[in-house]
Amino acid sequence: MADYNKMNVDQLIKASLELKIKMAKLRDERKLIIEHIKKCNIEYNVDQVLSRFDSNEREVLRQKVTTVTPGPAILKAEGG
Amino acid sequence: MAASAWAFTNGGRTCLLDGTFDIDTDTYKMALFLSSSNLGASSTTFAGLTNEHAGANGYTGGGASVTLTLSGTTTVTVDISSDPTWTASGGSIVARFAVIYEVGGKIVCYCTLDSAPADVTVTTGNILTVAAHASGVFTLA
Repeated sequence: MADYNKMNVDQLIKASLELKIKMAKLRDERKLIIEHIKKCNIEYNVDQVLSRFDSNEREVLRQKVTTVTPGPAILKAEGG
Repeated sequence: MAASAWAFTNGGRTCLLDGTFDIDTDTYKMALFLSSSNLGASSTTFAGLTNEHAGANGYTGGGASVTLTLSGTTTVTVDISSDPTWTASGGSIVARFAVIYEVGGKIVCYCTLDSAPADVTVTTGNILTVAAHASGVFTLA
């Protein structure tokens, strides 16, 4: 951890902004982790898994995604 | 649960070939319909379809906007740029069919969400995604 006692105001503001950027990146990484957990398509054990996430993240984890993927129709150019 | 392939309406093919549908320029939407809908191969316009999913529970009447794209040369593929999703809220989304149509115009194609055939039900808080197939919505080869 940086020694904030030795920093002037400009340095402290800069350090604060840098941390803010790092926090945003970490939040994005947590979102990616959650999306990957969801893709594993398992039943989550509330105590063991969900308790490790905050309330918003738990909501996302509980959300089930039903994906239907209709196959393609084909237009044929025949002959030639 | 497996969806059927996209199927053209009888008039949809003609509209593709006579230029009625400008695939990568016109505005299209994907809408959900109930099992009781009159949707079928002989359907023509979106306005003529009955029993769209009610505008409730996270679904908006008329459906979701979709952007169709064209790619390829010897095989031209029409694809959806971003898969439409609906998050059920305040009740379930229950639908049998999905339809892609030109806004203010005719139906391009449709599919049965569960080819059994059966309804697809998404309960409150959960998401329904009608995903584009790896080979797109349709191809001309």
